[in-house]
Amino acid sequence: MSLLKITDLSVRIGGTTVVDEVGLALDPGERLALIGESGSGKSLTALAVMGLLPGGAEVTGSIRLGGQELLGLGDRELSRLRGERMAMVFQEPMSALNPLMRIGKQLAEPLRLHRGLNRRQASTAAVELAAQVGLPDPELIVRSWPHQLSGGQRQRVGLAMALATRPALLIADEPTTALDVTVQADMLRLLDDLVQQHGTALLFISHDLAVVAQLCQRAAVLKDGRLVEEGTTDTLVRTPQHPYTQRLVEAARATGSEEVAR
Amino acid sequence: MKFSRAVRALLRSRSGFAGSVLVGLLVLSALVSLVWTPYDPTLARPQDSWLLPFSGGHVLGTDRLGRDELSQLLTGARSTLSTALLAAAIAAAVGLALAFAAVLTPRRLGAVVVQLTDVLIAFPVLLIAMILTAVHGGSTWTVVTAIGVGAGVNLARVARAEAGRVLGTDYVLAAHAAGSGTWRTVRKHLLPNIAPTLIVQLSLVLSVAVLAEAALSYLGFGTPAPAVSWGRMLQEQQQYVTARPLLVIWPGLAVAASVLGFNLLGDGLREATDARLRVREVAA
Ligand SMILES: Nc1ncnc2c1ncn2[C@@H]1O[C@H](COP(=O)(O)OP(=O)(O)OP(=O)(O)O)[C@@H](O)[C@H]1O
Ligand SMILES: [Mg+2]
Repeated sequence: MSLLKITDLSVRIGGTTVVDEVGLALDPGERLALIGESGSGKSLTALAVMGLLPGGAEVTGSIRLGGQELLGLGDRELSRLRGERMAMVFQEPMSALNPLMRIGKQLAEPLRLHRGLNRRQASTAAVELAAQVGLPDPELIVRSWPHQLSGGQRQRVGLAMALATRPALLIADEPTTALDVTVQADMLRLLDDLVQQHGTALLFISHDLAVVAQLCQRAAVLKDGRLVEEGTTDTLVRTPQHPYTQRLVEAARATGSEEVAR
Repeated sequence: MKFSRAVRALLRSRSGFAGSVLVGLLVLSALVSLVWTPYDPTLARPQDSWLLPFSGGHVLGTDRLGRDELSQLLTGARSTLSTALLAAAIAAAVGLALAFAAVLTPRRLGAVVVQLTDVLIAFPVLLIAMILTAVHGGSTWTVVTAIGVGAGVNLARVARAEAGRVLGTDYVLAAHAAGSGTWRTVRKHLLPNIAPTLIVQLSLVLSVAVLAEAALSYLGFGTPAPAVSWGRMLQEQQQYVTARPLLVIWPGLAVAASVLGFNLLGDGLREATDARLRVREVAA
């Protein structure tokens, strides 16, 4: 049975339909990429799954996680699932951490929320989490403030936070877009390793086909809120059907990506 | 540790230092007056009236009724400070309640709260105070409530904008994504991040409250006798200003220095908590 099953998901904000009858399925431990240009509704789809759409958004359709319907759940039930069964990494490492809270406290927040760790246990766990994502000098890092970390380090913190409770589903919304190319590669490798290790299912949002080809077996293409094409990443890259996908492939070739050029 | 660093940053800025000194003087006067004043500030001794400074043991002289000027000044600091602090506490409560009601409740209700706030802002504080006094009679509580509510609705507007900004940040979204409930997010993420702005605003409320208390007492709507108030000192002495100008100048100066002190403190706090400065401060 699918871990995540989205059927006929539509999101309307202020009268405009920004996500239009989207359907996706993800098995446990599987990786699915969601591709599309800016404004195509990738983030809103992800936020709909997390139940974090902005106030005033109307959602219809169905989102099932492990068989349980998420749409219509109360805030309390959703809070229990968020950070426990499903977690999310955000695009902007600079703004996704509270500037007035030490790294260690933020790292351990999901564990305190869902595992009831006390302060001392949480600070030990924070050091372990920091070490797991390869942050240098974890003891020091957990006592730092967010602004003392580089973008890549903050994004590692975000990833460690999201994976702290070993969720069944991880949604990564363009987690490397804001990073330098070299740091990007490290981050992707880390994501790859950790997801593999924990058997986490991954919904990976990106507009970069080259990155997607490295990481995901399957990909779905969104345009203007509609799903225009879906299949294995290989097929999508070799024989793109939809004109929009063809253009994406062209663009990736033009920038000289090996995986896509093959 | 974070606190002591903030205090150091505050004292390093010129306005922060000057403000701290002036406010420190006000607090010190109020505290000293609790345990000691040269004379009983309300004791009238007709045989000692109109004494000049440094005569008969009265450092700043006495007024028409023979009351010691310095003792009155020290004791007056008490009314000023307690009014200002209570008013600021009420302003903080009213401001936060209205701001949170505006941003945390469902949209429709939030919009009503916003409109209500805007209507309340249109009422001048002094007018509210006078109406309350006319109905209930003058008392410290009337003054404090009027100033507090008046400043609170203004504070609400600032706090609402700031809370809206923080609630829209990725780290609040990330906290929710990690499973944090609304109240936990408010406590751990929202309040700490709007606190710097609130503290600056509250120090300005304090300065407004000092001025309003003096003005209301001067007009006879404020702190009632026998409590000593700088505003009433001004009012009682003003008809003799040509004969004894110093008796008016001292309470006037005291009010001005307190208002200035809270204003400078606010400026200093703003500088000390300014995000960019904070980054440099911590990184150093
Ligand atoms: N809070 C909001 N209110 C109104 N419209 C919104 C809101 N958030 C997003 N939208 C609109 O919904 C559409 C889809 O937005 P979304 O953020 O999902 O795009 P995206 O595919 O994630 O783009 P990007 O690659 O730039 O992140 C856009 O047209 C956007 O303008
Ligand atoms: Mg997006």
